[in-house]
Amino acid sequence: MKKVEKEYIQLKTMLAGMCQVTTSMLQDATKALVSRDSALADSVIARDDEVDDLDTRIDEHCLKMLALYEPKAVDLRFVVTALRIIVDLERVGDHCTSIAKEVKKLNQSPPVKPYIDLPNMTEGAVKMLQDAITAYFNRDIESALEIIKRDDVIDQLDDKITQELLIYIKSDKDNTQDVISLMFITRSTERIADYATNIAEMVYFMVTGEIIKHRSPDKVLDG
Amino acid sequence: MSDPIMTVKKLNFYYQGNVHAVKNMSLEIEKNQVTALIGPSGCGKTTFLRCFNRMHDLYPGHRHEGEIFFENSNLLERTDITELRSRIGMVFQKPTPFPMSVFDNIAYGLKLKGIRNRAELADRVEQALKQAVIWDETKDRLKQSANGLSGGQQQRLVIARALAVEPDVLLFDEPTSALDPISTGKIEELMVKLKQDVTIIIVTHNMQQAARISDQTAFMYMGELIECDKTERMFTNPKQKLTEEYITGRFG
Amino acid sequence: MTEIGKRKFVNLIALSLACAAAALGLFWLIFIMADVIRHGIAYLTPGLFLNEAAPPGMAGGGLKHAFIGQLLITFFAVLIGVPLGILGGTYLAEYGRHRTIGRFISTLSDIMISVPSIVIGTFVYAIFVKPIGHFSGFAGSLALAIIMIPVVLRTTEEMISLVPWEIREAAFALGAPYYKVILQVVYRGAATGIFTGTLLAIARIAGETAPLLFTSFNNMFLTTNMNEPMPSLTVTIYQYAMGPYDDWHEMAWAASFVITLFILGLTILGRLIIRWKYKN
Repeated sequence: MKKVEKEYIQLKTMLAGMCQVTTSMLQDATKALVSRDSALADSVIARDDEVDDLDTRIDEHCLKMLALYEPKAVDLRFVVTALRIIVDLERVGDHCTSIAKEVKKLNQSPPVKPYIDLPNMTEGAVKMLQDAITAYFNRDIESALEIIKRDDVIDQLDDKITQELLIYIKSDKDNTQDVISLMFITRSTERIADYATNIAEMVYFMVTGEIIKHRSPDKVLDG
Repeated sequence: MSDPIMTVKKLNFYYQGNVHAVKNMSLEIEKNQVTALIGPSGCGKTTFLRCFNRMHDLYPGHRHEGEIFFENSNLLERTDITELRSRIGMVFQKPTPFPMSVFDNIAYGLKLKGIRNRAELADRVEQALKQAVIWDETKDRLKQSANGLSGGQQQRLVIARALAVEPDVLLFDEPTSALDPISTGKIEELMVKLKQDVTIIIVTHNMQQAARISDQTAFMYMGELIECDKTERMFTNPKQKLTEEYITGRFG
Repeated sequence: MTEIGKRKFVNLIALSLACAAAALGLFWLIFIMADVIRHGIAYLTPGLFLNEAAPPGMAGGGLKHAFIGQLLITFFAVLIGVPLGILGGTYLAEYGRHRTIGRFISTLSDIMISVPSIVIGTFVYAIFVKPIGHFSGFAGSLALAIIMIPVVLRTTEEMISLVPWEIREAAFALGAPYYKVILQVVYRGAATGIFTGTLLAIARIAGETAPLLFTSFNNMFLTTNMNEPMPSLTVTIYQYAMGPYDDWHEMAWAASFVITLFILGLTILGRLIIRWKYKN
C-alpha cells in the first residue's frame, strides 16, 4: 500500500472516532435531560476534552497531508471537507457540554413541566447528526439533501418550544431560572441541527464539487 | 527513538583542487528511515551523497576533512572500498543496466563478492528481483538482455542489483527524474517498502517526492546544511527562513 | 523576389549540385563494378582456386598460391593489428581520456588513417625488409597491421566512449575494480561495435596493393613460410594485369572479381551488424 493511502485510512479512522464521540455526547445529553441523570451529564462534559484532542490531531494531520501529498480533485475535497467537518463537530461537542451543564442545573430543583416537544427535537437533532455522518462516509448525496430539508422541522419545533416557554415564564415567575435553562437547551439543539446541515452540505460538496450552502435544497434537487 | 546508522561530523569536501562543495556538514542518518536531501542545483547534495560510498575516489584532486561514522569507524578512511560499496549501494539518475542479461545484471555484484555456486546465485537473484518488485515482470526473461526492459523496469532492475548484495544503506541520486509518473510512483512505493530492510538516502529535485516518501529531510544550500528535521515538520513549519522560501518556491 | 522564393531558388541549386555529384560518383562505382562483374564472372573457374600458377601459355593455371598467401598475410596482420588497436583504443577511451598524451595519440591516429598506404610500405621496407635483407610475408603483415591499427584503435575508442559513463559508475558502485569494469561491463557494451570496426578494417587492408609491393613482394609458387617472399592476390592482380598474356589478364579479372566480392561482402556484413545492433 502506498504511504499516502495509509495516511487517508488514518485520517478516516480519526474522523470516525470524532464522529462517534460527538454523537454519543449528543445522545447521552438528551438522555440525561429526559431521565434527569446528573452523572451521565458529567460524563458528557468529560468527553469534550476527547473531542478537542481529536480536533487538534485531525487538524494537524490534514495540514500534513496538504503539505506532503498535495492532494488533487476528489482527494483535495476530502481533506478540505474533513478540515471543515471537524470544526462543526467540535462546536457540536461544545453545545453538548452546554446542554449537560444546563441539565445539571435543572436537576437541582423538581421538574417544571413534562417535556413533550423537546425530546422530539433533540431526537431529531441526534438523527440528523448521525445521518449526516453516515452520508459522509458513504458519500451519499441524496441522503445529504434530505437531511438539509429536515432542518426546517427542527426550526419549527424550536419556534414552538420557545413560544411555550415564554408563556410559561409569564405564568410561573418562580421557575424562571429553569425555563431559561430549557431555552438554552432548545437553542443549543437548534444549533446542533444547523451543524448537521452544514456537514450534509459539505458532503454534497465533497462528492460533486458544488457548493450548495447558499441555495435551497429544492433548487439543488431540480438543478 | 534516535538510532543513527551513520553520523556525519563536520564534513568538508573539496574537489578539483579547491571547489569547496560541502561545508561543515553534521548530520545523523537514522536507521531504516528515508532521509531526503533537497536543495537547488549545485548546492552540493549530490557531492555529499557520493561521499557515503566514496564515489569520489574515482576522480583525482579531491580531499576531505571531518568524518562519516559508520560501523564504528570513519568510512572516509577505510581501505576496503569493495566491501564498503557492497554495504552502501547506489542507484543513479539514469537507469544503468549492464549490457548483459537480466540474470547476469543481478548476479554481477554477487560474483564480485566471490559467490560462484549456481544454485545460490539463482536463489539470490530471484530474492533480489522479488524484493524490488520486478520478479513477475522478469521471471520469464531472465536470459534476455536487460536493455529490452522499459525505463521504469530498468530502474527497478538496478535497485534489485544493488539489493542483491544485501547492503545496509542505499543511496539514490535523483532516481526518478528520467521516469514517467507511473514508474516514478512504483519506485517511490518500492523505496517506502524497502525501509524495513535498508536505510535510504535520496537526493531529489522534486520536493513533493521528498515530502511523499521521506521521514527526515535535509535542506542544503551552497554546500551548507541549512536545516534538517522530520519531513512533516520541514514541510509544515520550517524553522529557517531560507528553507521556507525554498519549499514554497519563493527562492532567489 | 520574396524571401521564401529566394530560399527555394538557392535550395534548388544546392540540391541539383548535390544530386549531380552523387550521380557522378555512383556512375563510376556502377561502371567499375559492372565491368569487374562482367569480365570476372566469365573467367571464374574452379581451377582458379585449385591450381597453382602455370607457365604462360600453358592451360590450367590458377591462383591458389595467391589466395593462400593473401589469407596468411591478412591473418597475421589481423593477429598483430587487432589486439594492439583494441588495447590502444581502450587506453585512449578509459585511462587517457583527460590526458594530453591521449588526445595526442588520438590525433596522430587520425593522421595515420589518411597516410597513403605506399608510404607505409616504404617505411616497413626501410625498417624491416632492408635490415633483414629480403622480402617476407611477415613484412607484408606488418605493413597491413600498421594500416589497420589506427582504424581499429579509433573505432574501439569511439565504441567504448559510447558506453555511458554512468554504467561504469554503477559497476564501481557495486565495488568492481577498474579492470573488471572494462573487461566485464564496458567490452560487453562495445563488443558489437568493436567487432564491426575490425571487420571494416579487414575489408580496408584486404584490397591494399601498394604496401605489399615493398614488403611481401610476390612469389610464383605456393608457400606457407612467412619468412619468404609471399604471393598475394592484389600484387598478383597488379602483375598479371600488367603482363603480356591473355590468360593472365583473364585470371586478373577473375581475381579482381573475387576480391571485390569479398570486400563488398565484409562491408555489407559490417553495416548489417551496425543496423541490427542499433535497431534494438
